[in-house]
Amino acid sequence: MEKKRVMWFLIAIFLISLGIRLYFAFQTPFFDNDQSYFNLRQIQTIMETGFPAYDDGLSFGGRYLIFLPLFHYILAAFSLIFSLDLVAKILPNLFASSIIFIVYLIVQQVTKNKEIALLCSFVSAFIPIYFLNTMNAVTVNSLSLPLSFLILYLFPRVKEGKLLYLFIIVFILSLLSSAITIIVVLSLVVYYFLTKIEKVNLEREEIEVTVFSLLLMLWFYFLVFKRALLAHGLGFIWQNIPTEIISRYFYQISIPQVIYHVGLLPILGAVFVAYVFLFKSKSKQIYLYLSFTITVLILLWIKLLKFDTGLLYLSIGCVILFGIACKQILNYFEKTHLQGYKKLVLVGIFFLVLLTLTFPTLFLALNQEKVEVDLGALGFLEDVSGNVDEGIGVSGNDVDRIVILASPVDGHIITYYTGKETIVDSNFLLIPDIAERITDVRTIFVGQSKVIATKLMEKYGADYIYLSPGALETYEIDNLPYGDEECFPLVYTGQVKIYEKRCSS
Amino acid sequence: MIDYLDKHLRKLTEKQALIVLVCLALLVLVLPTLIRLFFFDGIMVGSESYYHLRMTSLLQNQESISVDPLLSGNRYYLLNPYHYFLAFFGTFVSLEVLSVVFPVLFGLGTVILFYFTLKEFIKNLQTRFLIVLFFVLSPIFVYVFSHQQSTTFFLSLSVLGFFFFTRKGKWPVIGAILLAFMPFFGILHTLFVLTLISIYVSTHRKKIVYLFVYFFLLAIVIGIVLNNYNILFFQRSFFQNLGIIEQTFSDLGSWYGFSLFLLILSSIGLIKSWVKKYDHVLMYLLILIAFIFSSFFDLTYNIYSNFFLCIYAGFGFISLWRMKWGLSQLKKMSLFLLILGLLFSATSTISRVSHYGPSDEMLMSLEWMNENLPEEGVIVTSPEYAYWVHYYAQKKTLVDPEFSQTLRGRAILKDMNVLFDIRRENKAMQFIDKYKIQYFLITPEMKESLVWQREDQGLLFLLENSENFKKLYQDQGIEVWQVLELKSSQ
Repeated sequence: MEKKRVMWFLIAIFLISLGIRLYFAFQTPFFDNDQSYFNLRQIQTIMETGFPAYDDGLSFGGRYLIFLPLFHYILAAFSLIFSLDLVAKILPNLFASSIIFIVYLIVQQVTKNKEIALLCSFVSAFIPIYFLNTMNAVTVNSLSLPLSFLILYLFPRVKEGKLLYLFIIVFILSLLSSAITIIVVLSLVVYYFLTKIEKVNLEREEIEVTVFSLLLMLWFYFLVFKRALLAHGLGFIWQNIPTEIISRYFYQISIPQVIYHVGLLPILGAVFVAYVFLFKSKSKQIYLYLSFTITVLILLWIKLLKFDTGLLYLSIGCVILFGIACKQILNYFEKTHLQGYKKLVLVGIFFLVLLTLTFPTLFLALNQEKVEVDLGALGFLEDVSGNVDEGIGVSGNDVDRIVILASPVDGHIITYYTGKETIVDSNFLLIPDIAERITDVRTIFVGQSKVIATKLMEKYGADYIYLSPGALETYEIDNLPYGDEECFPLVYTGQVKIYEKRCSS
Repeated sequence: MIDYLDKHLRKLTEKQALIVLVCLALLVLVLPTLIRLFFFDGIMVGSESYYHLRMTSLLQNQESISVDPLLSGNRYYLLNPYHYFLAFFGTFVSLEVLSVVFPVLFGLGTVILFYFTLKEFIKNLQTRFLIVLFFVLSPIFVYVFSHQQSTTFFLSLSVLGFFFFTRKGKWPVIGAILLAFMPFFGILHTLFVLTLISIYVSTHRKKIVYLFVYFFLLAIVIGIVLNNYNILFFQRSFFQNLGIIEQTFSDLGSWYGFSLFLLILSSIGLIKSWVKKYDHVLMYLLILIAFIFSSFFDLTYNIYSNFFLCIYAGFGFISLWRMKWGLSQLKKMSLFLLILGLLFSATSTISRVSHYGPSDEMLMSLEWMNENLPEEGVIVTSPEYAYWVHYYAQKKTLVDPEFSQTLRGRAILKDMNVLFDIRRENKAMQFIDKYKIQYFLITPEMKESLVWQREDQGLLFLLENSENFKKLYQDQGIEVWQVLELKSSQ
């Protein structure tokens, strides 16, 4: 296929993918997960002060945050020109769609077949978990995932003049965007050992780049996460998520779940390639991507990687291996009397992709429950300080200091829209006694005792209880059991219910 | 930077190497004290420092000590030669000054002695310089020599003893005398030094006579220790409530842990040394013994591994430095990152040491206790704070870290932990009555992880909800509670 034609095809796939993503993203003014609101607040702070809010006075009633800010800075820079709402919808989708080009480059590099590379880039655009998780979310993964695969693409080519510098730049950008770069470096180490086991000689430059990447990553992350490492030790890996809710983030993978999220064809392709290249033949280039997939799979299996994040990386790794599997199938056809039907086979695979991946993904996106945020409730909380006449809030806080008790999934949404303090949100790192806090919040939501609830509210200086549909689902309740006119009157009702604490213990 | 290092390492002279190392060691060791001076009103850092200071003061006033008056039940005093050493110099200079100056001097002395001892075994100046440089930047060196501890003294003593042992003439006799003091610091330290000396003598046959001198002196000292204390397996131990991996790495919070980058370099050195494994087998054996001791008995044994790991880290760095790389730019960057990593661990430890207590708010509460509580009051708190309570509040505690290593101390500590977990009032009062406890000192660290996990756990619940306890003091999370009802006093 001509280079120019390939280019047009790629651009078309990119535009189709981006167009569909944006269509779904703009169906709602809100975002899919609470982390989006955390990121938005950080972007806003960068726009206002030039720096992220590492010392966050609102989360957990004031805490120190640790995160890598490159993604936030990029979005903040664009938000200086365009509106933040627009940037937050478009830019993450633009980053996420760029995986199409990277997958094309990688598969083309490994298979030397443009058609297969194009097919894989199309597949990568519609992987269920990747499409759904990055479509309507301000998530760092939309940037860090393409960067990770760009590192893998550049890695075998570092000998080629200036590509070494490009590798270093991309690697540093990836380090600055997400701690997930650890997976890439680990996979390079696995790659080293896999080639040793398979008795395939690595080039000296590849070993040197691996050593350098490992050292740079260790140094950089030790520097950035020093405080968290000292506070949590190895528990840092699990981000201080309390045991009570850790199973929501790190859980045992099952084959049906993986097939559902990644798609059957990429999984079958990956299994086929793993079998062929671990037991039948050898290929140094393929081992690199196989190592990456194996690393992610092992980390998911031993629960060292968040399930959602792990599957995102696993899915793209599988797509690349699927491309290699396609090449193997075509090679097989070349050896038979059916060699003239190669193109037909590819068309067949393309239709299979459409049937088993693209349409189901679009169907899922269409039927995905639209995120609704009760702006009325948030508006009520935003204005709430004006309601207090005495100068002191009900919990003895200053008027300006209104503290809201909500479930962890609502924390970031509340702080983003209202600018008010919350007791918990979903960033648990560096929070002392997190298990106790989570248990206390749970007790307030599900407990039957008004006295205990009042005591616990006072413990955290909380003034209002924010009962969202998410909280009802999380705690499996229908309403606040002890809500009454005297101590916990319902002060706002809508999609969300808000109760005010009026008694003291 | 690597080009600069490369250029200067090649031109390095013995004198320059020593000056650089001593200056760097001085900087590394003085920094925590300077930080304390500027940000913590000059309050001396550490916990054990205060124990040595108090016992030496007692020794100066009483000539000899048989019991520690500030431990409830008057437990016997565990003889420590360092107190006599400090008391001797304390007649010329104030003990407070010596407590700050001595660790630094010991540290500098250890660096110089280590350098000259290495000269006996490693002829290449660059390698020797790098080994001692890594030693100076190692977190264990920073922790041990930045404030006063028993480890500071006996490590310097053993390095000095070993140095003399490796000299010619009659010097090994002095070495044997110095090393014979080891039983005062623990039987396993003695065993380790004995193994080291035996290995040295077995590879340098001429000194065999001095090994017998050493054995003889050691037997006398063990006899004295046994005769006086009747405890053969006494061990001055150091424990941190950490997992095995966290204990290994200083970057994960261990005081006696290694820098990750030092371990990477020493792994490279060890792999490289495997070509001549039979020449290195005794070194491997010593590292293995130190690791076994530190894993099963006491983290302090990492101080020995630290010497050997620094030696292999030096070999590792030299091999990387001399190795021909395909991408020369990456070689420079990788070596630079390794040095940055080592610096990072050192600075991180300096920062942690300087923030080690007592904090200003702790000091205020201790001074309040000194002024407001009766002299004979017995205070229960985490053993970590016992030395501060003794020194600043001048009050008795049930145990301290040193006493908790003995059989009786362990039994009291066990009772104390049971008491901390009790929520039933009558049961708690039984313990309180048994040990005649009058006060509790509770800190935020105790509530967060040191003793309890939750704010309403065990005794904390009882303190808040029982009428037998009264809160006397509260400031920035530090609380002092009084026991209102003691059966024996009724």
